[in-house]
Parts: sequence; structure tokens; C-alpha cells
Amino acid sequence: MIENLSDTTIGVMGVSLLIILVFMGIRVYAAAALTGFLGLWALKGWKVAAAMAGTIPHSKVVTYPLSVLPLFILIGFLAFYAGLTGKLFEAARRWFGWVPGGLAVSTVFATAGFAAVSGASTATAAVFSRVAIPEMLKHGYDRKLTAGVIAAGGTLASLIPPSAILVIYAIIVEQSVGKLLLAGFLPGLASALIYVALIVGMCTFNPNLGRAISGFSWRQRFESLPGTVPIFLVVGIIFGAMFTGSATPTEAGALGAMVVFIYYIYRAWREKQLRTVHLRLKESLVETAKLTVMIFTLIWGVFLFVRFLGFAGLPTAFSDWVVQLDVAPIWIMISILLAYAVLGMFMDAIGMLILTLPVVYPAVINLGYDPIWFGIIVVKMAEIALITPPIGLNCFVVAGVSRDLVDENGESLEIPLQDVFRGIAPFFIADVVTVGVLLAFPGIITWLPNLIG
Amino acid sequence: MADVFGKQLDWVDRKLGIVEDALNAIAGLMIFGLMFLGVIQIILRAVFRSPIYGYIDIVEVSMVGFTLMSISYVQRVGGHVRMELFVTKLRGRLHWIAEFLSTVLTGAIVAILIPSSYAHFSRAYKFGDSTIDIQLLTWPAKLVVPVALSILLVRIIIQMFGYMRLAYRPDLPPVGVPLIKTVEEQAEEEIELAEEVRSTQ
Repeated sequence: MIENLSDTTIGVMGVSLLIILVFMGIRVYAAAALTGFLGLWALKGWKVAAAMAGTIPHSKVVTYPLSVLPLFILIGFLAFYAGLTGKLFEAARRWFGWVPGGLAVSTVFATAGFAAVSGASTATAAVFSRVAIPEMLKHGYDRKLTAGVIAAGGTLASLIPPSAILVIYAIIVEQSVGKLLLAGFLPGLASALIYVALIVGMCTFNPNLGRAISGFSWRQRFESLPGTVPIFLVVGIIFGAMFTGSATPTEAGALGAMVVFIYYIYRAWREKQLRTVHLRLKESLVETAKLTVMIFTLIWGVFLFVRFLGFAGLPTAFSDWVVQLDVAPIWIMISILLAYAVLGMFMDAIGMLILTLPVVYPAVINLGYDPIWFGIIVVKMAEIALITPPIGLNCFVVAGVSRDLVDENGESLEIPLQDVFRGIAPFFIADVVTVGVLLAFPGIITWLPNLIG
Repeated sequence: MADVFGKQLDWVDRKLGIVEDALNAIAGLMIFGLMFLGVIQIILRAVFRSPIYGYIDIVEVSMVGFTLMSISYVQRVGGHVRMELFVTKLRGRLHWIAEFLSTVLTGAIVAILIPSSYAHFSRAYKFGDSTIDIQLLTWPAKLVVPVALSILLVRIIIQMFGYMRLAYRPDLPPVGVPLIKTVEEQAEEEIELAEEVRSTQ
């Protein structure tokens, strides 16, 4: 019976089966590998399918460009355990406290810096809730603004280098890792500055939301800088290596991880905690390995499915269909982005990208969009999903941390979830505006990577 | 009824857990090693103008050790990505049956992959396949795949029995299966991690 079906029909059946399996809650790697295998079996017979399936977990995983991933992940976990947060917030406060809503602005810069290096959006929100909520509420800052800025600040993780998710995008769609990493820098910075403009605007209009904090001398400002050095070094190393092409991403990642590791040991030594240093190091390595294996398993599982799609000719068929639609490309792009916004609420960003890109990407390129540009936009959408109600994991984290916080008089500093969601609203709108700006002015994304040719 | 089966399952779960923990620890150490290797490579190239001979080959051959070897560990802790939207809505017996079915299907594809990845290894072994630059033999790395997948299959079988037991007696405490976290619990976990980090600083 199956012999009578066209390849494309089998391809569509495969995609449908995959969707059903994923919605059933099967781990995505297994759902994709199983569907891919069944599809290859239907198209090419059992022998060919088994031979292909047997080589993919090894051959698709052991390629040098992918070896940067564990190192970027390691940088994140080491940064997390190295205690960069307090120093970073203090430095940001001294330098940017004087503007309207100064503490909120400082939080944006400190979270942006930490999120960039740690690459972990939700973890950043958790850590900074502890550092920033008590400080901001002590100075009479509005609770909704406080919660909103912390939840939103974490989302700057994926654009500013080092970013594991941009590496994954680059490898799936076979683009230069270096270009993608460079491309994320300006949009990441722009997102942060748009947040800052929003806060300054809101606090100028209504000073009761948050007042400026003044009284720091230049000396105090410069004294706060050494604690932030590792952040600037790591971003600088990755950025510099990509820009000059003097080291591969893997080598730059290794050097970045080394910098954070040395700082971590230095901090432990300064605080006389060298004896327990191995415990946290072990924790970082175990977590790094776990996340690495998770990502690579997804990669080979989905690749098996992609191989089947390729034989079925589905990406080409889908792409041809999209192109002949009698709709302006921009509307198709907006529909794709909305679909990602919804999907991102229910699924991990990395899983979502690996799963959808093989079909979506060829169509997007066929519509005439730039591959690098699309990568940045899609990653930004995945980050927005982290602050979109009703799921928005970052919002839950901020509300959860605040529940346990009390001020000096024992008064609760709790910020209820609905207030966090209300507080995030202006930042959510700002993000939508950012995406709009990036749609209208793609040069913000493509200018830097195009410089290296 | 004494839960003898639960106890036995728990015992097997723990024993396999020791192996999985060890493999994941090795994977972590290999990533740590990759960091040093990269830094040494940069120093040798920039300062002494003589990079490590076959650096890329070494990285590629060792990669399977930290990208695939501890796949079973990740399966145990429920670390592989999935969509929990609907599964979490099911309660009691129905929930465990759904989990059981998912696990059977996962087991099916893993079972198919074991012999076919073994064939991939055995071809490399027979022909003495090696890397391009420094002729490192590739079969040991390729052998890791069927071995790791076999351990994964054992883990999946444990989970199958775990879900079967719960589908039969939903009132028993779960054994040998990863538990689903709600968004609140995930948030709570992130918070605990942050707390732990803070307390050590």
C-alpha cells in the first residue's frame, strides 16, 4: 500500500506523526529518530534505513565545529558559581545610579552582562532577584517595575556572545558560527538600551516609580570595576576572536572558560574557601555534561528525521509552496514569528529551533531573507517567550524568589505573580518594538558580520 | 501487599545509577580537559608557532565521550527535552499509561539503533578506519555509541517497569521514573540553585 504513495505524501505523514508523538510527550530526540527511521524504512527499505540510522548518532555528533558548545556551556556554569553577580550589580549601581530609575537601569546592565556570559536566562533572573529586589524596594522603587526589569533582563542572555543557541542555529543551517556570534552583539545591546530608554522614560514621567541614586565619587566608581573584568574579558575574547578570525570558536570558548575558571579559583582563595572549591567545580562539570548530552542527543535524533525529510523532498516542496503563496513575504515572516512565539511558551528554545528549522529555514531563505538575520530574530522570539504570560518561566522565578525575601524590619518583599506579569508588560511591548525595528532595519543585525566578509 | 517489586526495581535503579553517574562525571572531566587542550593549543600556536599536531582529530575522536556516553544519565534525570503540555494534564492511572507508552516507543527506536550503530563500529574495525591528519583509529569512538545506547536501553526498560507498576497501582510512591515538574516547581528549582550558589559566596 505504501508503495502507491508519493514521497511527499509520506513526508507529510511523517511530519504529522512527529507532531503527534511530540504532543504525546515523548522525548523529542526519540520522537524524531523514530519517525525519521520509519520514514526512511518506507522510502528506502529496512536495510538502507538501518544503515543510515546506525551512522548518524556518531557521524553527526563528532564534528569539530560543534565542539564549541560544551565550552560555552561550561563558561555559563562556571560564571554562575564564581560569584560575579554582586560585584556586577554594585559596579552598575555606582556608574548608572544617577539617571532616573537608576537602580532599574543598573539592573538591566548587570543582568545583561551576567546573562551574556552565563547564557542562562532563567538562572539570571533567579540570581538577580535576590540581589536587586531588596535594594530596589529599599529605595522605594515600584514593585511591578522591579519585578519586570529583573525578569526581562535575563532574556538578554542569548544574543550577546558567547551564546550556545546561536552556535546551534549556525550549525543546523550551515552558516558561519563566527558570523552568527558577531551578529547577535548589536541587537543584544540594542535590546538592553531600549529597556534602559523605557525605564528612564517611565521614571521621568512618573518619578515615584523609581528615583535616581546619587553620591558616588569617580574614585568609588573606578574601584568597582575590577569585579566586572571577567565579564568584559569573556565577551571581548569571543567577540575579538570571531572578528579577527585569529582563533576558532572552540579555542575562543576554551580561553573564555579558562578566564572564568581562574577568576573562580581567585575568588575562592580570597574568601578562604579553597577547600570546598572542588565541590562546586564538580557540580559545574556535571551540569555542563548533562546539558551538552541533551543538546547533542537532540541534534542526532532530529538529524535522522531531517535525512528522511530530505529524501521525501519535503523542505523543497514546503519552500516552493510558501513562495508561490499570494501573500507579501513580510506577512509570511510575521506568521512564522508568531508561531515561534506560541511554540516557545511550551517548549525549550533549543528543542524548538532544532526541531523546526529544517523545514522552516529553506522556505525563509527562498523568500529572500538573510540567513544570519533570521537566526537572530528567531532567537529573540524564543527569549520573548520566557516572559510571555501565562507560562513565562522568568516571571515565575522572580515571583518565587520574592516570596522568601524580607526587609530589615521583617516586612515581606513578596511581589505576587500577577504584579510580575503587569510589571513585565512594558518590557514585553519594548521587545515587540525591538523585533519590529530589526524587521525594518535588518542592517542592525547584518552590518557587523558583513564586515568580516 | 508488600511492595517487593518496587524494592527490587529501586535496587536495580540505584545500581545502574552508579554507572550512569560515573559516565557523566567522566564526560564532565573530558569537557574540562577540552578547555585545557584549547588553551594549550592557543599558547603553542601564538607563542611558539607550533600548534598541537592533529588537534582537530583529537577533539573529534574524543567528542563522543562527552556528547553521547552519558545519554542514559540524562534519560534518568528526565533531562531530554520534551513537550509536557498534555501529559501533565493527565492524572493518576491514565498519566502513567501515557508515560509507559512513550517509554515503549523510545525503547523501540533505541533498540533499532543498537545493532545498526554496532554495524557502523564493526565496519570501522574491519577496515581500520582512521582520522585524516594523524591516523587515529576511529573504532573505539564508534564502539561507544552502541555501548552507551545499550545502557540507555536498560534504563528505559527500568522506566517501563516503573510506569507499569504505577499504572497498576497508582497509589504507590514512584520508583525508577523521572518526575514531571510544573512550571512552579521548575522555578523553585532554579531558585534553589541560585540560593545554593549564594550561600557559598
